[in-house]
Amino acid sequence: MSEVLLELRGVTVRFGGLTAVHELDLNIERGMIRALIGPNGAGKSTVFNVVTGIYRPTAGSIRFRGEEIAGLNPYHIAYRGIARTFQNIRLFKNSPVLDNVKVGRHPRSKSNVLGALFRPPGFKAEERRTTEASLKVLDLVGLLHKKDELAKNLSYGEQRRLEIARALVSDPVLLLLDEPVAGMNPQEKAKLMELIRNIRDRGVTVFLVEHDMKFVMALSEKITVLDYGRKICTGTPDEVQADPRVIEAYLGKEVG
Amino acid sequence: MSMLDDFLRQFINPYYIQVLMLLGIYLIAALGLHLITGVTGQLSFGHAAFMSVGAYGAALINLHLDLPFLICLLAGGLLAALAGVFVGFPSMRLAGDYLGIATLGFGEILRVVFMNLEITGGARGLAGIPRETSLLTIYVLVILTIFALHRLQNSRFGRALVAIREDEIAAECMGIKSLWYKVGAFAIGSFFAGIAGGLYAHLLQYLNPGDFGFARSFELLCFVVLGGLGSIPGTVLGTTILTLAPEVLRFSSEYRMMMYGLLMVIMMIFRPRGLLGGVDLMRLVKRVLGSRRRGTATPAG
Amino acid sequence: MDLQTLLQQMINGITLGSTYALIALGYTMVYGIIKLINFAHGDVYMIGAFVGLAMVVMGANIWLAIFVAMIACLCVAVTIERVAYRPLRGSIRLAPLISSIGVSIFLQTLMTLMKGPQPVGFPKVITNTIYTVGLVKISTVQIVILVVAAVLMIGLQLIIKRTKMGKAMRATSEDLHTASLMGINVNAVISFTFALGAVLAAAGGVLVGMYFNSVFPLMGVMAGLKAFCAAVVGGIGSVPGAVLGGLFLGVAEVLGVAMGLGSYRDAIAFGLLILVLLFRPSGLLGQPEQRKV
Repeated sequence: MSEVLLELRGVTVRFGGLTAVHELDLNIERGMIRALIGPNGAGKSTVFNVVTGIYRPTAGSIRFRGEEIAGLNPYHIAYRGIARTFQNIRLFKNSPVLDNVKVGRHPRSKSNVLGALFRPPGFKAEERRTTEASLKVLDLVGLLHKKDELAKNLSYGEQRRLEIARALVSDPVLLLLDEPVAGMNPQEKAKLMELIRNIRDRGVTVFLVEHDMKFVMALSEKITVLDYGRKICTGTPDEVQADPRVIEAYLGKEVG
Repeated sequence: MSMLDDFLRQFINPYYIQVLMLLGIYLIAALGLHLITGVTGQLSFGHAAFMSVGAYGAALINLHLDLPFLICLLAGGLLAALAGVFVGFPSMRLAGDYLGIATLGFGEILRVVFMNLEITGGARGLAGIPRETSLLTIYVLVILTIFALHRLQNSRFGRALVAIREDEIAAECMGIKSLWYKVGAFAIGSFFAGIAGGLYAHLLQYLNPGDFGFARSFELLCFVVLGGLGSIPGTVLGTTILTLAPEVLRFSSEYRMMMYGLLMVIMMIFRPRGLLGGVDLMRLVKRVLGSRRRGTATPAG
Repeated sequence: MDLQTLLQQMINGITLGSTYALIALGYTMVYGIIKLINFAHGDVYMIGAFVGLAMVVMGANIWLAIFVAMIACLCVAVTIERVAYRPLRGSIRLAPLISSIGVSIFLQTLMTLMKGPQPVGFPKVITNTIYTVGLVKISTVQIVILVVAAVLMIGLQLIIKRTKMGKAMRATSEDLHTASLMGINVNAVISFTFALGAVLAAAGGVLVGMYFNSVFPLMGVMAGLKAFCAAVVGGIGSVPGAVLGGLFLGVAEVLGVAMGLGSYRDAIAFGLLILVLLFRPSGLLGQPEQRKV
């Protein structure tokens, strides 16, 4: 068994009377492509939001590389090496593609107001590193030729890839992808699968939430199924597909 | 009084020089607001109040401590920045319109306070400020302001501000501590308002709290929005048009404010993103240069 | 401050506050539906005062004056919405805001051109008797203000709760887009909302003109801002909140002045506004907004 990178223990998230996630235990091992699936409203995105600090868990502990991160602010969590994309694409729409990616580099750079005003040598070197790193990930996701376009002018699939580039440029330890193939055509999906494997091979652990069963089963090494905020089971794609509880949750309509 | 002013005065009606000087002062204040509202997306209805902090600050320091003018000016700017931090920290937790309303409230309270303080001359106003502002000082500072803002915007700091404007939650997930950055933008924007205020005080030689009411704040906001949100050339253009329009419309002096109001409505209907919304200074320059280069290259090809 | 003064100031404060509430209702309803701070609303109130004044000068009684002012303001407000805000719907948030500031400047200068900047007195329309009730004195004018304000607010509540249009208003303020998908004529609802707000503000304008015996082109500026504060203090978008906020601000202002803060009079409303915003940003009766991801 490899090292556990992210560990959720008894995580509960409640909004008023609604329990979105109920006492969830979950391990993400380093170097894996890991998936979280479940019917609509199962609480998958809530798990992402609680891991990245947008929501505070009502109860439970979240440990990342052995340190408690539950209740930290999103910016602190980003600095620790967790990067994410969003289900409903949240790009900086009126900024050029390259600037979007550069913002993702924030935790890996330091310059401040005084640096920006007086531009000491260190400032220029850092800017150059930021630009280089940004161009590299843009190349990786195949958007280099669009670097000067405004983000809002990209196609849907391109916007999803730009979000991945923006997350990747911070050299994260863990990458959370929230429904990365939603709205993509089959060719784009195939290309993205290739890209995610490539990212994993570079040593980034990938944790994704996805609705597209074919995609998840082909890509992930280990899957956890969530229903009504509770974990039903965890296992390899084959184990999960064979589990009667999973079939019941989905009524067999999406699995297989 | 600089030599340039004396020189110009021989050719240009002093009234127009005065108008140009006021234009420069509004440019500096509006560029400060541009950073807060245009770049960072935070609505402020109280920018004139920060101008008043700088104006009273610089004037009082000059009157009581007799320091060099530029030091007084800088001190006024820093006081305004401090006021910006003081107002910013609690208010920046509020989003959108609520923030605007809070800044409006702070501005009005400040005005009433200046109206009642002994040291600021109360409702009578503060008179006897020496005239130190010259056309040259103002426009050197305008250029410095544009230079500083351009550098700020094209840096990690500036990109973080734009990210906050575009999507605050996404920005926080990228590691940006948005409250700090918003307060930072607010303080820097207020600093420029304060500088503008100090220049204003040493130009008109008399200050009245009524000069810095919400009407002036709204006016500054209109400069920024009409020119084009988030664009330095836009802010410069908007401020210039709206400052000079009432002067140009002088042929119907009674109706000019009415026309000004109409102009604002009409411009919003036809150019809601402002005249130069989203136009970036360097990008613009590059495009102009680029097209010229391409223009010379085409005949060959 | 003894009990008698306190009670007396309460009466005066509630009278002032109910005029703030009449204006605040227009702000809160419009904000509730199209999320616009309608800075021209205070000027609609000012126009109401001028129309009422003109009617009284022509010999009308106070009721006719209020009625005609209401009709006039209704037309003005609906026209403003049609000309200056509707073309901007779907544009960036700041555009209609700037447009409303433009309209406000336009109306103020128009009235200054027509009537001059100086305050005009309000002719005596009702015999102002002062009654002593227990410890406090209350004048006929105050009674008229309180009764008219109360009747209008109850009427508004009935319109919102009992009529089909009121139901459409509530649906639209919940979600404008969904309401339009449900077949609600959103344009009509918005026009109707502006009309309702203007009618209330017009009444407020005439009543204030009569109460303070003064009508002038910039009267809507400070009154409008304070009424807007009242709407925010009560919880913007909430009709009972606007009434509560108006009364709260009116009483606070009058009590503040009575306690010797007269020179800080205009700061009281804004001070309360900031306190409320910092500790309860959604206002006294507003619903807190959830951070949506």
